[in-house]
Amino acid sequence: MRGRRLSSIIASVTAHAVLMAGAVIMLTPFLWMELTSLKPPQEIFRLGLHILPREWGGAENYGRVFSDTPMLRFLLNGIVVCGAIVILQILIAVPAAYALAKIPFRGRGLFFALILVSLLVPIQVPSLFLYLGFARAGLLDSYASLVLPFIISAFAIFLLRQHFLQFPQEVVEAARLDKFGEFEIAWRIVLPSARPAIGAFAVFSMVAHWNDLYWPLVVVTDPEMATPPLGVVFFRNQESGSDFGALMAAATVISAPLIIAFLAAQKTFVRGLTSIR
Amino acid sequence: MIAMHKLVLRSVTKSYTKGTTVLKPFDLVAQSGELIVLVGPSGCGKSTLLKLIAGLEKLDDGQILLGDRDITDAEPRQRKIAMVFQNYALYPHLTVRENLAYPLRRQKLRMPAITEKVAMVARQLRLEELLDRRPSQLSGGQKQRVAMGRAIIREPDLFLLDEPLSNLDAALRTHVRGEIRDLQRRLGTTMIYVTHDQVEAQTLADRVVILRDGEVQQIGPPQEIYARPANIFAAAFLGAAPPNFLAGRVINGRIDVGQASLPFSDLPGECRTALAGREQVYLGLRPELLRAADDHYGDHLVLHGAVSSREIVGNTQNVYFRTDTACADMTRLSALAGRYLTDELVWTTENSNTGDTVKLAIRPEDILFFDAEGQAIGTHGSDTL
Repeated sequence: MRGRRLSSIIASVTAHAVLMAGAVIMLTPFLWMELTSLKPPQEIFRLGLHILPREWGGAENYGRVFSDTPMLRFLLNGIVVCGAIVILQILIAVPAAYALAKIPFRGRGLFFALILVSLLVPIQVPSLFLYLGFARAGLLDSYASLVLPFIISAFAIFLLRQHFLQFPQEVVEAARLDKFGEFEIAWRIVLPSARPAIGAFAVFSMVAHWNDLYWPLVVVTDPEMATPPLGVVFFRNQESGSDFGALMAAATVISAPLIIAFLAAQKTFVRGLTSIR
Repeated sequence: MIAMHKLVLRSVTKSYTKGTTVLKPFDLVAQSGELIVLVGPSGCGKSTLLKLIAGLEKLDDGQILLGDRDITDAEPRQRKIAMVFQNYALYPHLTVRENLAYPLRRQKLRMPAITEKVAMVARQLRLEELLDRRPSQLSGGQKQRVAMGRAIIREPDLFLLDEPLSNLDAALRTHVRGEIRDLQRRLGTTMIYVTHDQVEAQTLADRVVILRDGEVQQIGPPQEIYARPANIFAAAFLGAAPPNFLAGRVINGRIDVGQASLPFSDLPGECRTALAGREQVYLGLRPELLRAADDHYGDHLVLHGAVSSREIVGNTQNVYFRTDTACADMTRLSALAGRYLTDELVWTTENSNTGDTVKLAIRPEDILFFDAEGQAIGTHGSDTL
């Protein structure tokens, strides 16, 4: 009895030690960014390792972020672009996934295979064609060019299809007999059971597009249209590029919304992830 | 008051890919208000038939009429058919109240009318206490009642029930069975009820349809199928236990069954003519129609057997015995009956018989006769179509 208790304590301590080591590895660069954003320039390049700033340069660094760049504009752009992407992705993925999971039709397997294949194609592959298309249409430097390439998410369709497959076919059939149309069945009967999946997907997609630098870099040159990461790039180019304190302050500002959102929704998020089978 | 909606199926066929026939041409007329039970082993096509009637699957050929409407190609939502599924298929994220009310919103009813109807159905099915619960908070029996409620609230022209009791425990099953029958009688709505349980078939049905491998074996009232099964399969399916099957040989105006013998003169007239000219026949003896032959049973078929085991069920007991007249080819018989049969015979009796041997008799008119193909002889089977 005592032996078992001891071994379970050892197992628990080991597990937590491993997890904590992982947490330290992941959090250190982040913490470093925060601390650097609080240091004045001369201290950043001083030899020797000082974890805490000796002089506080935070006010100046953060002040520069907001005075030298339209940071609020960047954040607003980020919210508009990511919000539009996620909403449109879900609007398109739900009916598509429902059809693939619950409506038998000729060629369904082929469609699904094509969607799986498209999961393997990164945005870099069609980016030239997309760029030319947007340029021809005069849509460069617009929200449309930032949002449209991403509104069909093969991943969302795949994820939701797997969830919808688990939904009992009889309930769908009962709804058909109860005179519901297919769209209504998809949105009002089947979708509520996939809420955790939708939530988890929304978080993933939001984070990916909020942090995306590649595509905004391709289609946006006007700082007015820049998303937060692109804004930081512009900020660096404008200045000498050596003011790391201010750069880290900018990086802190743009990652703050996601961190606050995550902390607020932590429980829901974890539940959503763990319920995906 | 009772809506007249009879259901007519004409040569309905269905096969899935690769030429596997699920349903051979199927004909059925369910009279208005009739309760038809489709029964058969799993995979016999009974659930498929239900889905075809509901419009959830397309038929290959044939015609379906409901009332005076041809609904062969109608969408499910155009059919005015309500279905109760084996796993109840309640809308999982809605409360009982919403589950009941949801189908009504499609019928463009006003809110007060919906509320009133929900209250009425809830009262009928004793759901008042449960209205604000979700399906996950209900027991099996309660879910079943909600599923029934959702079906009747729409006042459909036809009810389809797909094994509605199979997820309930035995005691509840008997109870709910009675409730379903009462409800159907009260509403007078035509009902097609699918089950693999012959007890449900016998207790509920106005008429039973026995299906095997997508093919109708017999259609008729349960008592009639019990008394005059069309073939060995139907005989074995309907009844607490399958009949005891023996092989008989027709010789010179009598049938020899091992040591025993039965002169034609003791048989009913129709049997006599049908048996004449045959050689090999099968006899089916219902276990509950055998009786101890202590007294004089002049014209009865008499069997002698050695008891191998007994089981006691309440005030009856099943006595298992073997006899020298036992049928030889059990493999063949098992195939015809669609179930595994042994050469051990059964006698179901209320006697407290304890001996090592039995001497049993059966009235000639209680014996079922089948030809070598398993088809009934001498009983002009009921309306097979």
